[in-house]
Amino acid sequence: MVDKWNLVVDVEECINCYNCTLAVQDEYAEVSHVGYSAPMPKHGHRWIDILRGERGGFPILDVSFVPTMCNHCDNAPCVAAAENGAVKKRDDGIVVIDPDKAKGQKQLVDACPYGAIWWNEDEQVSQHWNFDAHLIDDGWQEPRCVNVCPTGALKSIKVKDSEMTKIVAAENLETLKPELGTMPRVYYKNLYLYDKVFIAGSVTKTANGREECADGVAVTLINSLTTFAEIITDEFGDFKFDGLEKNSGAYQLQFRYENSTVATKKVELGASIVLELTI
Amino acid sequence: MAMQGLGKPGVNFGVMQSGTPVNLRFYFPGYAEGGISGDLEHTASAVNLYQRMPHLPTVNTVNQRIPKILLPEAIMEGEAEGHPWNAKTIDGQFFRFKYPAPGHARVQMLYKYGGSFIGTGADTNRYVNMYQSDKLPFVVSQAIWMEGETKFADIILPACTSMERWDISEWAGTHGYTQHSQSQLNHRVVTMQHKCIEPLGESKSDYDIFVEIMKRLGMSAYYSEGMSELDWVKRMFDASDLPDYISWKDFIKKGYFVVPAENEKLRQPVSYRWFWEGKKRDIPEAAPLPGDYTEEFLSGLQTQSSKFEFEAQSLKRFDPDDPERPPIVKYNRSWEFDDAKYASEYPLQLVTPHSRYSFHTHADGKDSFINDIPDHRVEIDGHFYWVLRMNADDARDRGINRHDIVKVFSDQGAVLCAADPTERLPRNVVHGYEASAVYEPIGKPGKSIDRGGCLNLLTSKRHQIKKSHSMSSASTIVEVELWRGDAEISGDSDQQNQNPLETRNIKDEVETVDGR
Repeated sequence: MVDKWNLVVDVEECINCYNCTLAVQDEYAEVSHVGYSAPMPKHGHRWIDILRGERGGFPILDVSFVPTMCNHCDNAPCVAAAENGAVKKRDDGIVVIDPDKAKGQKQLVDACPYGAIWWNEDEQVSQHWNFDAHLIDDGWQEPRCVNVCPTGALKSIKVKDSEMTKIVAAENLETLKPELGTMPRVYYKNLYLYDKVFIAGSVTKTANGREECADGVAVTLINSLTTFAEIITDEFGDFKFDGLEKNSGAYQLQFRYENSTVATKKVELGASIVLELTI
Repeated sequence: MAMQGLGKPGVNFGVMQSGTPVNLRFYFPGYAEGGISGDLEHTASAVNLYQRMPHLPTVNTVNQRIPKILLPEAIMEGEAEGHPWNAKTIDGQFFRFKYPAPGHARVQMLYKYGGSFIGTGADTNRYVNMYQSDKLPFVVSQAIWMEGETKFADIILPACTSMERWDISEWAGTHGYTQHSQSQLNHRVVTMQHKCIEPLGESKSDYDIFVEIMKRLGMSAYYSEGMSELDWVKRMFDASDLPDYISWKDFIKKGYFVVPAENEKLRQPVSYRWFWEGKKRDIPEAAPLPGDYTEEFLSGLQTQSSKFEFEAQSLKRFDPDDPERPPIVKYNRSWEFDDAKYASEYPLQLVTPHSRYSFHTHADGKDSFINDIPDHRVEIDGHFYWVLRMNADDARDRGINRHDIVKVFSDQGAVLCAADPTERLPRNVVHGYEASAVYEPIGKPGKSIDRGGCLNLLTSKRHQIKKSHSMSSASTIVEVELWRGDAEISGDSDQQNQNPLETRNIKDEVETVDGR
């Protein structure tokens, strides 16, 4: 068993600085890496692209940023769709579109379910982020995007698949669109910040004729299937149940304060919900 | 912080010292500390650099000045007043100066370096109109890029980029203007800026441009001292503390030098710790100057009482009754909310922070990669539009969806942007960065919509208070609507443009620089 390359993207750490996207442009735009890639167009391609998600609204909202790129799938649809072996899956896990053999093969763009393949009209070739294969083969220990990431949101790992399986389990990593069976080698940590929703709220109470933050309120969330772990509101009276499935139907919240139930609320969960209530 | 004890462990500005514990005693001249044929009076050259690198100084015999924010008024109305920035003492900012100065001639020529005013100033259609006015007879633009206001110049002297000339500098080295700016870094780094290629086209380095001008004035020997750019780089190297650590040859070869951190025992103490301990100041700071101490030398803060003041004694002496800046800070409702048009025509407040993906106009425009960052500019039909963020409900009310082209406007001007509705803004607030490098009026410059993204066309030219020199860019009120394809700023019938989509391409009227 050989060591293979993997990329781990931690959504919690990405700050949308676009250094990764810019590093790719710096490395590939208008530059040919013979045998690896034809010149990337100066504008119009984003081989590493960042998705933005916003959840909730005032007073509780959050934003997440998700760098996406070629997933270097073990079961790559582009490899299947390629003619004349134009797309190769290497022994180290990296997928490379051959810049010469792939000429004219526009079908590769639609073959990729992640939108990670881009058509270069001038060069008449399909292109993608190739893990900086030419740098890796030259001895680089990591691709440029990992090198320039200021927060450690992007990490590359070269290990045996058996080792990677352990890491995936230990760190709760996910891939994009796992239902397609493409078996990506790009993993995501804390992806729930982007693709799950929350039920959150801010609780106030009236005390001494004033509206005050209500800390210490015990909030329980229930739906027909689960009773979620209880959350106690913090100093700001805030609580947040995160990691819930979008459009997952009816939920009930119960609020207990100083040994009595002070409120209940029923909600229908589509996108994230923010409640404001006074007890 | 004052109530808790400024300088007490855990109660301080900044981190650790006044930043990271870099060696602040290592000398390398900052960008306002003089240099080639340096200005002794308006830089900090006289303090250090001039001693270490004696050279022929340049002295400006003209004592006249104009506040930058009122340059258009000075030119077009013939007068302007302002308050100066003063590095020596707090009281220095209380003086008021006038243009024209007594007995002085009026401005006949503007020699402008770079083209960024329109994208970075305030209420900048004033500058656009100034450039087109007969009252400014002659304009020279020394610029790398054909963008912004450079297109208005009578003569353009193309400058090369920093890749095409020799230079030497330090990261975040703004000293002479700000103090200890390097303490925001983890390490002090001095870099050799190698010349990689010869200047492209007809461009020259700034230094060579100045030498050529000096030749025609018969003073190039004095200005250049017979030195090439690389010679000056070596002189700066020799004037700094670098030779104590690294040879010139090794420095050129390596390309940079990381200044080692000071031995822990010799490290300067924590900022303000002396104040909390009631001792004399024991950290290397430029201010207050010795003559500015109220009590003994090195005792107390740079205030009239030497103490931390809640009631500013300097203001009490200058103008205790100034309603805009009273000696004790009070809340003042900002003027734009009382503007009659706020309630009726311009209900949105525009904030224009510094650009995230560029340093001022540096990386914007000029066909840069940055254009492809969708949070910076959005490509729609081949044009890269500046991004305007607005509250999602405000957008919905106006029928605006993500990446619709919108017109953001006030009485001062109008700009086309790509809309970005978001929950991250409250109602009635819109957000777009300042510092567009591109000024692209659809019709007549100064009187039509800008498609380049210069939101600074809309900001206020008012100082924050009358008795200071300050920008109040956040006090801007606007309206936003879907762009109907017109060129007018706000339906003013004087500006009816018969062919609204005809773009007047100013570029075509001026020779462009090769390769850009």
